[in-house]
Amino acid sequence: MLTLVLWWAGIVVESVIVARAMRNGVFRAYPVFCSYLSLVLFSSLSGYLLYVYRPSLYRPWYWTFEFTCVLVGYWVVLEIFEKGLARFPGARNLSRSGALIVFAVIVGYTTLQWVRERHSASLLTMVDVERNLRTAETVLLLGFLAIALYFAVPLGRNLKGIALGYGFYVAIEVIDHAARSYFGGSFHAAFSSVRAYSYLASLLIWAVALWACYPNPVSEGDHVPPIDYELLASKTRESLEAARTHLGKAGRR
Amino acid sequence: MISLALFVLLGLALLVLLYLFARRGDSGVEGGAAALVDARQALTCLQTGLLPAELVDRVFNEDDWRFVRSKSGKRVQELFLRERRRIALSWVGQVRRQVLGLKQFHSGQARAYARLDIRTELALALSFASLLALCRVLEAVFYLHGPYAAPRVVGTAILVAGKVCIVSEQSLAFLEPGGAGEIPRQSPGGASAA
Repeated sequence: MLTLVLWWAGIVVESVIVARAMRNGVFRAYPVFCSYLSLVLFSSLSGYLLYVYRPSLYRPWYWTFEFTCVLVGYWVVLEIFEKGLARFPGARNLSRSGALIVFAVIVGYTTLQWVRERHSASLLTMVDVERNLRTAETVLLLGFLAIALYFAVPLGRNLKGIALGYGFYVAIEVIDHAARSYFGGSFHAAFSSVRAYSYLASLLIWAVALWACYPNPVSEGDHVPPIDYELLASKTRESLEAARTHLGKAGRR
Repeated sequence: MISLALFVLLGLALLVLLYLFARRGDSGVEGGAAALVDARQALTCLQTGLLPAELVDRVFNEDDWRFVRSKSGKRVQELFLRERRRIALSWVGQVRRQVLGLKQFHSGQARAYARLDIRTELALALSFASLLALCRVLEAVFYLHGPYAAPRVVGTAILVAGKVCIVSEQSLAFLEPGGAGEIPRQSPGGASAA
């Protein structure tokens, strides 16, 4: 009963966010995220109908939409990167390099795992594959947050809300899938309500953050760097080394 | 079990960063000129308010402590030591904040460069992190042993503070428009012009 209540609550909040986004300009500003949410809304509604009227079809339908949503989720993460770092080419290029490395590592790891376990009794399950895909998203979001925090990247309320809500959802998904993969179905039953509540929390974060359209803030010094990057980096490095030498001596005494 | 721990750790790390991200507020929204002014003000404050040799000498000189020890009772001595330790901790805290200021200033400037080098930035990030950690170690030394327990540490800390001051001054000097004539300026397109 509680599951159904949470399910319907999710559908209501998703509908409200999508409807608001169409009217207030958020859909135009963040088309990938809003399309993702529309897809989730469609999958929630159709899933509910199948669950009630054709339960036998629910399982294959669930995994089809789950993987579609994970793949579209990658675009959401990329949209967060692109919109968030649009005015900072240095940070954006850095994140692109990092994202490529992460994709290569995760795809390589999953392929290796699949090849290794192809002939063994323990087959790579859907849960394992989704866990790996979600892990890639987690690492990408970790990278984005680290860059945003390190470079003090100013973000608008909309983008901040999208990143917070999606990050929270993905973090819970990774923990859930890892534990499900290890402990089996018994854990899933125990954790399912936590998962449902956390998803509802993400939806509420999005609902608050996307209620109106807020453009990303622009700071006056963002566009024209005053000097060469190499000079900036080398000067900072020199200064740091000098300061570190003195501090190191202090620590050893 | 190891893989489970790894995935759970990743999830928890994301939650921690999300918390820090949510807590950050909008302090990052600053203009280049405003950042320069803030950095310059911090430097002036350090040079004129914190680092003058006579002030530092007065705070860490043991003469005061010897006088209090010879002329007053135990309670007054304890109060004196407590207050001096607080001052010493506050002083090291200022050094740490200067390093932090330098880090913020560098990252605030570097984020706009198209040719940002990933290895350089990672190395600098590690350097800042280790330097800030060293400052914490110094704070711990003051906290545990008091301001007079390690006079050489105090002496070196004075040197460090001076160094950080010079660092900040250099950073500000070569970043200020017109502050360094020989430095090549970068055009908006990213190409360097002498």
